[in-house]
Amino acid sequence: MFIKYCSVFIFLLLISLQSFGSDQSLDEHREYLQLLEDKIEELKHTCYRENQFLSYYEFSLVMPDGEKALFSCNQFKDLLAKEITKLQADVETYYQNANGLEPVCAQNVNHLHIHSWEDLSRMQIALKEKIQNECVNAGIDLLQCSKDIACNVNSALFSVMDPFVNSLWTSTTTYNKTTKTWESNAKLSLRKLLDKNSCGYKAVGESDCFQIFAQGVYKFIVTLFDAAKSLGHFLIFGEDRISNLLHILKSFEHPIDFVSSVASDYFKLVQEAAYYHFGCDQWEGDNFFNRGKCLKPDKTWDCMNCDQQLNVVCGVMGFVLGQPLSSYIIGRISGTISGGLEVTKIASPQIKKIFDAVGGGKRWFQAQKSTLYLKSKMKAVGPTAFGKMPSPKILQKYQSAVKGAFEDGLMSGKHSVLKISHKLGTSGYQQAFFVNKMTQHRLEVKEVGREFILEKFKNSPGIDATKLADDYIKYIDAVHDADKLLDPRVRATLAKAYGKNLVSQEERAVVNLLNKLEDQRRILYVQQAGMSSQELKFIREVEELADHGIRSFGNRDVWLEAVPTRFSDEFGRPTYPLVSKDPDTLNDVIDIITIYRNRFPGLVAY
Amino acid sequence: MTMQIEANTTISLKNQKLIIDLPQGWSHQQNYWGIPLAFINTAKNITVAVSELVQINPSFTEIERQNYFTDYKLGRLAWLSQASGKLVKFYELEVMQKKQAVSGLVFGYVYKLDQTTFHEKSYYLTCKNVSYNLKYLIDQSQMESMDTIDAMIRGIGCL
Repeated sequence: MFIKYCSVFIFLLLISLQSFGSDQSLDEHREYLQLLEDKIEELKHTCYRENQFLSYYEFSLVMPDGEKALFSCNQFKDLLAKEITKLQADVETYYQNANGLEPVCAQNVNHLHIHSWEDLSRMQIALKEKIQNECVNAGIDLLQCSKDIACNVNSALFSVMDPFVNSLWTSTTTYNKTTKTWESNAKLSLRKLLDKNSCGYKAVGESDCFQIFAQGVYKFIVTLFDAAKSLGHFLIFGEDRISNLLHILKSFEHPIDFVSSVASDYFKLVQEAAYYHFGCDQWEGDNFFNRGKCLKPDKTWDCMNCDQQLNVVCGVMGFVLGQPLSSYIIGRISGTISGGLEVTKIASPQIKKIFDAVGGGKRWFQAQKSTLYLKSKMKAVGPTAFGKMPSPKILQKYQSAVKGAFEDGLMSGKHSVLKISHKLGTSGYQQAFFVNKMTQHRLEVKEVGREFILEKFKNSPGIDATKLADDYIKYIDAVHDADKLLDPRVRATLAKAYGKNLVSQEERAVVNLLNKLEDQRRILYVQQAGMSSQELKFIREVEELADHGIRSFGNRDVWLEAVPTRFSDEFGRPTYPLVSKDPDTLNDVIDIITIYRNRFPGLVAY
Repeated sequence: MTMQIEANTTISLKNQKLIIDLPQGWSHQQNYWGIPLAFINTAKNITVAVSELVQINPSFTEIERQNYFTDYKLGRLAWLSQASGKLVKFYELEVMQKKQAVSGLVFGYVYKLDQTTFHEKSYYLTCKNVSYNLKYLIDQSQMESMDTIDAMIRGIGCL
């Protein structure tokens, strides 16, 4: 033990000696880490409301030339995670020749209280150390490293949590609709339900997060965001939640049983998703549904006891209590997903959402872990100085990263598509942004429309759905290709107007010009392709549906603070798409939303 | 249609007092399932959920009203998409003129989940300086209650 302390002391001494030197690059790494930490604070401040991560909330980030680009919380998070990973690689390169540099010594793992991401990261680092000392050197099977075999995630955590949740409500409540007394009785007291040998009992503090999880599910069902109190916000958040609640109250004599069953089933799914993402570095198959065997188990996970694993599950809470939970609840109310174990066997979009959310949680978890690791490695970084102005050089580095993310396609998550905007080499980002949006939009209109045709016309006599879908794609490419279509001046004006409601004469004139250009191309193409008027009619109907549906339900223009203005005259088409009162058309729109969500899950705001 | 009025009830909410004539079989409950106020008909299994909002701008233009209606419709279609439901129709947007100090907008729609048809209405009312959302859900078999519920909501006043 003494030797260990000594080595740590020497290590610290070495570091501090280094930092006294005029080592510029280390100073820069340190300052950049500081800046990234500040940005993490900014993200926490901007992107979380009441424990929920607002994935699609958008705000602008500054690029080196002072221009701004829109980023969603998801994209901002990915950008930060990427920068931290890069920084870690840089720092590791820097230290390549230094000796004796290891992460900080292990704390007593069992006494760490988990309240935050930082705590989780701290525990993770400590566990790594523990594994290095106890497992690797001894050459034992890593699976046996877990002292508490009874708490293996595959069996015990599962079975322990189950009666947990089920007893959670029923033992404390008999809901009475007439006296309405349940609320004061339904305290989610977990610990008292456990006996001493249960997972989740032993550690003080550690497993409290499960309680927060269950309460989070409950609160999500029965209460509203404080923020959802304006008309615009209520239309988006409130209507759904009250609809859900009214359905639950209507259909269940003991609604609390429903909440309890949702909490329990949802937790199982999250847990399975956590095991999928955290418990194994490499699976046989490439998606959760057909994952096969685990080829490379995550050593850290295997060495955690059940309390610690439970806390990892709870660490992704912020990512699973929002939108994925909402989809899941609606699915349960309407009966499109059932409860119980078989739920995991259904490759439904709702379940995929949960797995994706946990995956996003993992990337973020690793970034936070790296931050702590880097802090310990570089030693000198103190508490974060939120709001402190970084040096121009470091700021430039960060803004370049923002620009890089913009250009690489983090903006829309579509790399190949964004390359086009870069390739164009236009003067401003506005134009690149506009063309990117337009190109991305065309891709979506194409894909969603194609699937819609295949589905809608699959049993129509006299119509070859496959051919119609192929013709549709050719048509969209020919008529709407931004690269071929636009004169640079037109493009510049349209780009400037992007996202606004066009009012001025000049702006309107440009939009009309775009429409005219597209009309010309349309006529030309219909002649060339020898399209029948019937076929053209179908194709134009689908084009319009897909275009409107995608512009209405895509997340790219959703601003939490400015809901009524989220529609724009982008791409020259009218502001409000939903004028039809025909139920058949509106049900087609519902199909479009469903296809869009399944095909581009990250892009749909609902 | 005649309504049997049991009592004229005054309810103190956070920001204002509401006055309502509750028809027979209806009662009210505050802090009900996370919502500030509910009107409940236990025998018929119908709930009207009341949420308090920040004040809605009382002088909407027609365009603004239509914009909000569009937001409502988009949200409902998205909900139906997640629930694998089918739309039957949207009710026409209704503007409630000032009566007993209450004015507002009424949205609503009819849809099918599996074989069951549901009707939902959502009132956005402003009474003096406070706004409320009042929302209810009934199925086809409860349609005869709709007029009673609408009349009850439209009769709300505030102190």
